Amino acid sequence: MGTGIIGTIVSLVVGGSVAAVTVVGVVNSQTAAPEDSPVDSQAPTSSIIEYGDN
Amino acid sequence: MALRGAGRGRAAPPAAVLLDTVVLALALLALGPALAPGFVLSYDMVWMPDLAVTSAGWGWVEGVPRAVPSDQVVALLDELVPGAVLQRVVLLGALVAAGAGAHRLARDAPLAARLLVAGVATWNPFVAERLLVGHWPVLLGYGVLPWLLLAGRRLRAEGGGLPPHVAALAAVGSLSASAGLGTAVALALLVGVAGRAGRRAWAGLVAVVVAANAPWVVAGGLAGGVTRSDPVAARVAAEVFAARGDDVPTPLAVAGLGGIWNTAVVPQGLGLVASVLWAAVVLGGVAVVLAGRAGVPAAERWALVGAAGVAWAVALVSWAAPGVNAWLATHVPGGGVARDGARLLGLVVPAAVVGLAAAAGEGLARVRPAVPGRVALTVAAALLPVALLPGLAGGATGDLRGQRYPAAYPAAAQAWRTDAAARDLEDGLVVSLPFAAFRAPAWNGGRTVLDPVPRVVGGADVVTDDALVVGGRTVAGEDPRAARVAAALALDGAAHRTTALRELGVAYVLRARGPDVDAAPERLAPTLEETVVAAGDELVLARLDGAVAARPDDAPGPVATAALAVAWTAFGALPLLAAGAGARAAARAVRDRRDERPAVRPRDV
Repeated sequence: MGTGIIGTIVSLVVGGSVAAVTVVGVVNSQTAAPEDSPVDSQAPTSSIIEYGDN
Repeated sequence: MALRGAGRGRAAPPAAVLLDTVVLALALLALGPALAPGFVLSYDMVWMPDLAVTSAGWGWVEGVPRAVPSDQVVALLDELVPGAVLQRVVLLGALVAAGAGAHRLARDAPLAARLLVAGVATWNPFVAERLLVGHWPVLLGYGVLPWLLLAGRRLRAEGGGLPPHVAALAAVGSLSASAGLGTAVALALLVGVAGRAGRRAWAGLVAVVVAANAPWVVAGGLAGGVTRSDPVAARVAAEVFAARGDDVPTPLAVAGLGGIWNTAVVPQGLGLVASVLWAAVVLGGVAVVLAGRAGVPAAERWALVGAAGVAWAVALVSWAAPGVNAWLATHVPGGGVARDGARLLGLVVPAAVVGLAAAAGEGLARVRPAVPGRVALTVAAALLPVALLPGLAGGATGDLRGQRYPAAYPAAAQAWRTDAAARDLEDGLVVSLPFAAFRAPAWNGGRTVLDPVPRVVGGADVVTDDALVVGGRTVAGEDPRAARVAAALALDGAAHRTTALRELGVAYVLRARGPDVDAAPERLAPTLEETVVAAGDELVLARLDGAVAARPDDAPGPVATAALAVAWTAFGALPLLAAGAGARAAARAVRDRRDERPAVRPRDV
């Protein structure tokens, strides 16, 4: 019985925390400025486009 | 005591429907604006409204056949389904297949545990990075992995020959060289070893692996381009394409299914904390399997651990000892396809899924929460992957987005068809300028993409530079025609350059316009003696002045044609065999039901 009550409380805390972190994370990722410097797609580039970066 | 969670019992249909719905919702959340009208053009992912069926698509190429058989399969299928729809089916289908297959691997586990593994398989760093870099054949190969393990379980339970649908799964999972290699490993381990295959089943597996990989193997052999002859170039390629962590230690990134060589496609938020958590989730799941606590037989246990071990070993060797990959690329035919060290990491996921389901099931049994707690944990399980990697939401925060080609692209293609036909120049080469492999057009939001011109001008033999520049280092290309064109473009004087190009058989150039290419170095798009045929804002078609040298007949000879025909027949037979067996099984099931006899499924491929 005791285990069930504690388990329920722990489950509610875990569930609520994950849900809150998810909402905050998704909202932040969709609204935050990019980590890299923003690139103006209309601005001329001075070198060839690279496949990627290391 | 073995943990529960990996048995083969039937799921209650409502649970399966709920789980599949959650998986679909996660996939839709991940792709987001990528489902908008147009095409998702990101790095290696270039799709067209109607890709042309070409001899290069069949595998008659001078360089490494990297788009064989994927391009030709798309070219054939988009005769039936519009390219834009087909691309969305592929992207959405790969993610949904991965998640839907994952929860079916844990049919006996509690709902929360099944939600957790479905989410982890659908939404993880590997999926995010491969989506962004445009490796859709790799994602399709990833999507079939859990279904291969399910086929292995069926084989183990029923014995006999190979389940027929394995042939179709192998074809879907082998649309590129590296995807084919990963699928071959999965077929051997997840079906053969986990399924305790007998002699008949192993013979079927070998045949399926050979047929699924035949198009690119034969094409590479005919081109002679699967072995890189230049050790220096192979070394550079091995170093720049090795697995690496973006601001985190590489082993940590690789443990958590990240570690792609291109740090520009690492999703937002995958920093140290997220990488540690992902590594804990994945390593924890695999550890449960390794410890024998996942409730699966020893054969499946070692198959799962073996697949994860192969993937991690390839990634870590590429990072710790790039000389090994350079040696392979130089000396072993086809060895170069393993240079992208993190590309096989999807093979870790089946083990992680089986272990996580078992561990989560055991944890829930111990905690025994009341109904509100169970609901809370179920919600948490569904959301956990999103919480650990929110940067994948919304098409990786908008980096994956449907875009329409500007009108100048189809207009230039049409102008080439008309002008080349009128002047009998259809066999002449077309060179795409600036002579560089990648673009970042404004009409694509400035996002990097492989030069789309060769695919846009369907039917034309377009030469592009296949040298790749990564972090300021250049990986030499493999197409000898590209090298000759580059040498011609480097000559002094427009007249000399034009003459040299005409002698190579070049009849037209297509010049891209836009901020990404207007300021490109002069050597990549030098002036030529040319006449503009069609001028759009983003693309200009020009015909070189003067007579064009006749190109040597480079059509495949009878032996090459026969070899490619055999390879493609074997490849095409795989889905047909599976479909035929499926139709026979359905007909037999109907007959058995009518006769009130238990259905018997067919066996061999």
